[in-house]
Amino acid sequence: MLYFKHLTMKKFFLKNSVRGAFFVAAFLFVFAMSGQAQVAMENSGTIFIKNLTLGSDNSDVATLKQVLNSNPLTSVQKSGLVEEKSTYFGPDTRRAVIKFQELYKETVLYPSGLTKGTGFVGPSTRAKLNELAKNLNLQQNFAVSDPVVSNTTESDSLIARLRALLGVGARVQVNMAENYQVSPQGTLVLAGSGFLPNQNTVHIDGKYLVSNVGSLTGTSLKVNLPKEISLGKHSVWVTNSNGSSRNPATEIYFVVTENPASNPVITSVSPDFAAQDEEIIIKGRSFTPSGNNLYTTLGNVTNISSSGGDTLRVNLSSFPVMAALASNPELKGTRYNVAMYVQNENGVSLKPFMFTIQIK
Amino acid sequence: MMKIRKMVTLWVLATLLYVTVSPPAMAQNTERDGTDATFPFGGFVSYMMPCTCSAPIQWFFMTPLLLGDAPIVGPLSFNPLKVLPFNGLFSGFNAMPGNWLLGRYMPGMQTCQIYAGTACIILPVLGDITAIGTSEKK
Repeated sequence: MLYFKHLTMKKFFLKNSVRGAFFVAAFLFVFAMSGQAQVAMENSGTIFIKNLTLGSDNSDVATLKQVLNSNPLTSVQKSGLVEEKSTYFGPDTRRAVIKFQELYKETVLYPSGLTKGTGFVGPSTRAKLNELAKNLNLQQNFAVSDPVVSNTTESDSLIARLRALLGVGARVQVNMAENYQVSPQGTLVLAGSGFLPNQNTVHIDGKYLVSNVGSLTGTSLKVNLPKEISLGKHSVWVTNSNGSSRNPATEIYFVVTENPASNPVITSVSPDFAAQDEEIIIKGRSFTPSGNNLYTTLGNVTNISSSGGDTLRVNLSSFPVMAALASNPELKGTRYNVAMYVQNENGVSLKPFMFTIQIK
Repeated sequence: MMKIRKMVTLWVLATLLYVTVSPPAMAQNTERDGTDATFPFGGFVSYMMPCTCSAPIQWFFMTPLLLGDAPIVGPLSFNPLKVLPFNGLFSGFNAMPGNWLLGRYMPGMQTCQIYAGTACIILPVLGDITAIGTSEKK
């Protein structure tokens, strides 16, 4: 039976040599692509691209230990008789990771609703590690002149096309203009992902093109505005071999003005542990007299007025999620970490402000 | 003969799709060294919001969310294209508000971005759902 099947397969490939060649070519193409994709990921400006946990054994663990040991508060302390080899993630490393997570809890733990370190190196821990690794000059792949990076452009393009077709994978995205208001001939700072070390093209309103803009981190682009750009609101997007960031439903904007204001910032929310029907007082900067919109993990509330540009007042019951929280008696006493952004004509706050509410 | 041809074609197409799609998906869901980094969860979806800048991901607010001994509340992100009910363990797939969910999630993933008038902002979640089932039939 096996012999028969073998013969049948052989006949099939002999009779269909063109198709056979196509299959082989397809496999070679796919395997080459997956390898190139990995190279592209590793050159996108990050060292820690995979999660690490107890038992991991690879070169990333050695780099992790380098970062941890750069600060006495997070260094890996030997506790047992046996010293962990440099590439092994053992209990000593886990304890050091917990110390690291708790040291940077505002950016590593709070956004995930955690207050204590877990020892698991997931995306938010990796983001902080990458930030520190960059400062420690551990990032060999960041250099614009890196020959591996410059060789990936053609294959990146093929991958980008196929992935764009399938709607998956790495792609270029602009999240925001970090300085929403910018002066004429000023420098616009775009935050996003999928930027290449070079050969990014910035499109402004589809009228102006700024070519060959470089990004050292893959997540930030600095663009000198064209001299001829007019005052007012402009849309912006980026193209490179990862594709185009443009999405007409979620256009990214900035404003050119002679007197740029800074983005709004939240500095405090009171009272602590506000209940579901209490008013909260939001203190900050660059609030506008009207048209302040709050985007939160309780849902969104729009068009809030501000007195003096530094205070916003809103009742928690105005947020869409509160009704579901308040109506469930099992949730009495539950605390919830809320993330809040404010957006107005001065832009959007760059980071969420975290505060805690309590269901009473 | 036709059967073999169909099988080979299907196999090639499946492999092509899997290899093309899997590198980023694997990077998000599991560790390359084989350790599963996901944890079980249960909970009731009370509110759902589209992550407009990272479609088709959805933002689920869970009241309660059961991750350990004590119930908490909080959001999880859910990508219906990535999380499919292939496994019989997670049947009755209907991830909508008003339903109880049971599944696995990866803590720390921040995949939900919403549009805030002029920019896209990350809406923090406790984690990203990697496997899911519900109490309700479709």
